[in-house]
Amino acid sequence: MSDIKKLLGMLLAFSLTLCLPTARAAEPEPVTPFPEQSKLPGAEAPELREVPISVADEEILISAEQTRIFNFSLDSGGAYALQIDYRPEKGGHNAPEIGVSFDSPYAPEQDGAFTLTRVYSYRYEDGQLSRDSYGNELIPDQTELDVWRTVSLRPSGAAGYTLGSGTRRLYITGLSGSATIRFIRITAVGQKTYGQYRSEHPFAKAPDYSHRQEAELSYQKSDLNISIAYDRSSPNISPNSATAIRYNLLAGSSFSKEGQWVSWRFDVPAEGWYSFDFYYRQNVIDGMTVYRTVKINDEIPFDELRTVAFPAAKNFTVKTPGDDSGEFAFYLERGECRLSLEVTLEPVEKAIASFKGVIADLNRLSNKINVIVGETVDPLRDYDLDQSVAGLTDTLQNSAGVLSVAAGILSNAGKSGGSYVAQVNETVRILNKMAENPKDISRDLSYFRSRLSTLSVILGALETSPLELDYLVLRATETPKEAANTYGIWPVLRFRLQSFFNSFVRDYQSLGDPSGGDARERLNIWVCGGGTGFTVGREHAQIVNELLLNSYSSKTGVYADLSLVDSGVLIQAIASGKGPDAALFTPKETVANLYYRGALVPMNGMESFESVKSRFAPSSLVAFETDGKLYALPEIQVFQMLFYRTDIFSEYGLTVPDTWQDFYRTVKRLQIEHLQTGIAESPQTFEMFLLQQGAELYNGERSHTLLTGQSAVEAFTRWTDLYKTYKLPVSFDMLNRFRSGQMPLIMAPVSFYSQLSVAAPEVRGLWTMAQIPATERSGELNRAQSSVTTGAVIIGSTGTRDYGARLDFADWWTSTETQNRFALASETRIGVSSRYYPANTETLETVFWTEKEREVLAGQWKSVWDIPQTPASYFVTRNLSNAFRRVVYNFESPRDVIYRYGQEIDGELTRKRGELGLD
Amino acid sequence: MRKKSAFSGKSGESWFMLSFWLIPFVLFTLIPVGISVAVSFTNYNMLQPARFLGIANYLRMFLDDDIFIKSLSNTLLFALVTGPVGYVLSFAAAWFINDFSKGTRGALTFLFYSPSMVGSVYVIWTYLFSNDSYGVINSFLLSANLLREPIYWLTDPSYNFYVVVIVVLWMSMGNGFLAFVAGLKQLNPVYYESASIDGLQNRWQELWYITLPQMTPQLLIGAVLSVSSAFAIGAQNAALTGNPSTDYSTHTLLLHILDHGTQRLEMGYASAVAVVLFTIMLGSWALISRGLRAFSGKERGCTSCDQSV
Repeated sequence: MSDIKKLLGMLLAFSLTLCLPTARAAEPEPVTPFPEQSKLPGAEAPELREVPISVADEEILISAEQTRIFNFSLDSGGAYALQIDYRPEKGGHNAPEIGVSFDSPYAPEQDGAFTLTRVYSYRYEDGQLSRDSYGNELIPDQTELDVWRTVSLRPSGAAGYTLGSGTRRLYITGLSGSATIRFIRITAVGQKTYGQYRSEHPFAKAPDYSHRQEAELSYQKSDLNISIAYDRSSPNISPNSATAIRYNLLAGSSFSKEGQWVSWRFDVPAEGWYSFDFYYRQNVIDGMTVYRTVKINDEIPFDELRTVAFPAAKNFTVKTPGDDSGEFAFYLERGECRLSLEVTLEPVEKAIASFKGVIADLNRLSNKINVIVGETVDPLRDYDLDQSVAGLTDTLQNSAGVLSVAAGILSNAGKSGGSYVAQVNETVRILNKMAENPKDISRDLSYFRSRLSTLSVILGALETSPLELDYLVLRATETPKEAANTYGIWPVLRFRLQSFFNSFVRDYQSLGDPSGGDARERLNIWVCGGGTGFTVGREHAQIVNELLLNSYSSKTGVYADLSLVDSGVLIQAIASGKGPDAALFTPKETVANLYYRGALVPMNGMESFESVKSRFAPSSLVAFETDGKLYALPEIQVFQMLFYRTDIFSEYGLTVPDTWQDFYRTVKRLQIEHLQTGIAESPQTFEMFLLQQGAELYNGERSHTLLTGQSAVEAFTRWTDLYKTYKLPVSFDMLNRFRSGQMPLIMAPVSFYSQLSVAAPEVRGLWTMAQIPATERSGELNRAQSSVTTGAVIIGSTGTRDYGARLDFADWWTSTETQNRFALASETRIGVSSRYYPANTETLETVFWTEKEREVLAGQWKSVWDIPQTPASYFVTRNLSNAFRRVVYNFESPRDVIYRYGQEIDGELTRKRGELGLD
Repeated sequence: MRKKSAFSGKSGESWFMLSFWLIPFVLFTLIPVGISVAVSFTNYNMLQPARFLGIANYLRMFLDDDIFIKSLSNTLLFALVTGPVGYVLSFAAAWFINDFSKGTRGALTFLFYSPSMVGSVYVIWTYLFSNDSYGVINSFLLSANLLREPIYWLTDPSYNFYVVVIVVLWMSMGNGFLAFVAGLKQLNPVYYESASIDGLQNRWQELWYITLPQMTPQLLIGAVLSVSSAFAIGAQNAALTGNPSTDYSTHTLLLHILDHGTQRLEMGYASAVAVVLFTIMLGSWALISRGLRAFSGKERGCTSCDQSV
């Protein structure tokens, strides 16, 4: 009893602490009194002419690979900026890029390229985020705004283009995408300091005013990837709730690439001088200072705002732009004011350019060394590298020099002197050491390679400039500034305790809306996790849930309970009667197992079935059809592409192979240079050869295979020859060999793209995709291959119930609009590692491929087909692997082996068909 | 007179104590085994109702299934190699480390026991025996010029069996080993003293005549554990060489059951194989316990040995 009393007493004391009043923390910082209208530095600089010179004043369309030339004349020389008013062409998500040059055509190495960003905004409800029935906020939809936008273009690192007087020509070259330009102007720029800015505007004291604008409620932004996030760890992050999810931040990691910008809208009550405070956090990259360009109403008021520094901060802190003499004040007129922050890398541009150059040089050097040294380095040989590799010591010494300079720039720019600079210095040391003792390079080689990849990682970090914003404050300059963390220890502790207790009571994992809809109409839907190529995880299930609530449940009144499961569990669950109503992302083998055993409802009963069917690439339907009935609607289709290293290919003068004959030639040529080609061991390769010969795996009724026929023998021989005769490695790690340059040509699933983009940043831009080689027969090229697909299925037994609601759901899920939104959300929220590979032909446009990539993919997609599924498909895969290994390991005759294993498969197929009553 | 219930009084208390083990055992072991035996006479694919087949599954298994024969032979081979060998190894290891000080002995026990304790750590062997020419063993042999091409340790039927044997032996020092270590500590030192007075000549005699007879219970439990785990080998094989392995070279009865149950969706046949495996295990256990009982003492004239077996 006394124990219980003690426990109750503790609980009582505990709950009392929850009633503690919130305490305000430290006093706000003292206000710098508004400086007198006195002489500030630079106030006496001469007036600068700002009348813009119009270069073009009509609508011009600039597309990729097009160049437009404009003539204009200048009265006097000086620094000028280029002002362009543009609107990107509708369609796609890539912002158009243009190259700008004066008096000579565009040259990529010298002249600058500019991205004409699109404009997007979130669709808020009355300026706020909408909530689900639990009270959790939901991420709103985004739309592109069709607006004209004016930008001022300057070359990197300078205030403007230096142009002499007289007649000048402006070349604008489209690099990718297309945009319409409404006017082009040349404006003279000069150094406009804060002092000059101050002296230009009248002294008007604004009334006492302070307004907080949440960063997550932005006005416009430059791309879809900039997203909002929530942080529930402290009440100091506004707004927050101990019970529900509140999106309270502009996600730092999404607002980090050069050229991205976000703007917010303020209402200024009266004219006067105001200040802006930014409540931010930068804890993504250790010790790094990030920079932003501040613009007011799309103009940079004075030069100091071009690079406003936000030092690294692990906790939220406040930044007011300013310099040594004090904080900056802005003169604002009454009415609307738009503030925008744009990511800029200006202070470290030179360092980045040096890094890029050094990495490229060292990569080339590394390739050349690899060719001589081979796969395994013998540390006791010296290989005479300084003689066999041209310019070895020079490259090493130059690179070391450039890197030292870059390290200096980095430490000046306020990056963490500790980590990056130290690593760069270490690299400089090893480069110098290698240059001094070329004979010892073989011993240092692996260390050199790892330092090279560290450099790429540092480059990636330098080019990423994340800034997480909680809220912004517009205040009259004389109004005191709010402190960054107003809640002290006890309120924070109380908040966290409340959150903790709530986690027992509230179900944050539930991906459904229990309050909505009629109990009869609730669908039980399972999302199959895992998968190859596109791995489905928790975040994807959440996206599905949001899409469900936003666009399905709200319109049809049908609600759903979503669960994320492993696809292996599906059959067992159905067996025990606890299966779902529908399953998404089911692998094609599981779908086949289910429909052969009568567990699926065919989709043919759907309304407007034919038009639904036409959404998908016909090849994606093959695995799901049997007996004229379609048992699943495809979602993902992954097929293979060729990936190759453009740098290595151009170094050896190779072109990517078009036919298999070309492929064999390329393999041999690469082998002469001690480089490899890779095709991973998989029965899919056999299927590809079979389809390329125009043959099938099964006969019409799918009652036996055609593996004992001539086409299959040929295809099998071609498959095993790759490894026996052409000596392609059987077992290898694709990613590492590709990125190290040892294997510059690989045939891999298109999802390898995602893996490379994320895990191999050092070879960014050095590789690309191409269509797989084709088999040439009587002048025709056949580029067919099989694919890996997943589908949405409806569980049930036919004829017993009305499956209308479920069919409707499957129709909505695979509709172009829903798939588009899923693809978009998947990549913008999770990143390129979660790029979607849709079976819906129109959704390919939504995915963030560049135009060239999309062309290659669409071209290959046309040739893709698939092998139908039978009850013995698992046996086919198994026996093909066994047959392959028997030939490749033991050098048996392919014809004999495939005949034997083919007969076994036929036996199994007959048995299975008998068992399932298909004969 | 009112008949006393079988559950009242003292025996009632015993039943109550036993029920904590008995109820889960009945629910989760006995009943499923019974259902399995029942299902083994049907054709059940889990999604459609079962059809009665009589002994067709068993006939097919013994007469028509090459893979069953192969997996049976693999299982027996594994059981023979890892059973007795692992058993002897465990005992030898326990015996060797017995003479160290407590701390050292503890550390060594941990070293030997940890592979079986940690569960899936045997996956580390896939790095050693990787097919890739950069795998640890392959790259060593390639650089030492003992090989010109990598050996496909895990997928080549000529090699992967031996790889799995090595891994299973490495993992075989499990609970039996612990039982031996503990058992060696509770030996009565009186016998050693009297034996040395009576003219004991060497360690081997000491082991055979004094140590082993006193360890009969541990030997028995070690044997039981070793045999049952030898017949249940399957998970490591699948993780190392794939499921199924190339040409079923490391396919065991357990994997055969899993294959038919989960991949081919033939639950009836899988149950039949499971019943056969169960019978084999029961049979071998009976053989071993009888053998150990014979070994334990009467024939060797040790009248004061522990006869509790």
